[in-house]
Amino acid sequence: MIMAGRRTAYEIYWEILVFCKTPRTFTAIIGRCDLNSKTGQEHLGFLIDRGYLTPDKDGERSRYISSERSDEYIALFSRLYQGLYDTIPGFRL
Amino acid sequence: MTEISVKQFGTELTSFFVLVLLNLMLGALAMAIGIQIIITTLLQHFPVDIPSLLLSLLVVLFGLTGIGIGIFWVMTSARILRGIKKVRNEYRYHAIPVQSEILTGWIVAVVAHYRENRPVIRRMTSISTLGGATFLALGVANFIEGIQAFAVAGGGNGYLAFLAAIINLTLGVGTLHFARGFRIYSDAWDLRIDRVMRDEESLQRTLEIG
Repeated sequence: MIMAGRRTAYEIYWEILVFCKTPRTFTAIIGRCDLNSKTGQEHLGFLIDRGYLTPDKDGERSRYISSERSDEYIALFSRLYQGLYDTIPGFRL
Repeated sequence: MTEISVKQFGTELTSFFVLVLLNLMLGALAMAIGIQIIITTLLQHFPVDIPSLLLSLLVVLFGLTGIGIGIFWVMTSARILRGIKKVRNEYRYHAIPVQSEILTGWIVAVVAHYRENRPVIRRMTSISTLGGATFLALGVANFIEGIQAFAVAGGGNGYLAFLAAIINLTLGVGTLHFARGFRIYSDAWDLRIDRVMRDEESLQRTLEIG
């Protein structure tokens, strides 16, 4: 699902890391996560610097793959967001 | 945890979808009533005295306001509907069991949608309340009209006026109920957005440690 709307950086990091569980090109990542090139570069740079994302040169094309480190972040993020529906009384018409 | 979340997520999404859809219909109805009020006033004989002329102008203005509110109501509902329709379709046609990452993706999409449309949803609450109050006022006016018709002419158009009163009063109560729904939805999501902001600290910590 292509994400849009107003997202936080943490939500975008999660989307990138989940999407990059299989190697992806930069174009595919910004397309899927609905980012412009500049923001995409910034987010990817951040995740690479922290070791969550690994660039993988395949000939001329660069691909990116999530590292094992990202599992912890993905799991925590999922737990927190799913928790929104577990703990707060919801709405029903 | 996922199963409960999926169920809760689906219930909320469907409720909200139906709520917005009903609002879309009410917006269209408000426009139709506004047009009907203007046409009825214009078709009546042209008032010669100043008070009647002013009253007719006021009624036309009321009709125009109804049309304006209706247009805004429809446009706002359509905008909100467009945002959640995509997630709802994915949810509806997705095979069970739902993977944790898929569910989280849907939740992120809904969170982002609410964050973006928060002021619009708040406005929708006010518009629904205003619309509900207007329908109720119209219902009361129709009811008085019905009583007058019975008192003066012993019936006549009184039955029609009572029928219109029942319809408008029902619409008024329904619309106010929808406004309450929007308020409950907004309150629940405000709490969730606050919680997301608080949780960002844990996410930040994890990213830094990692």
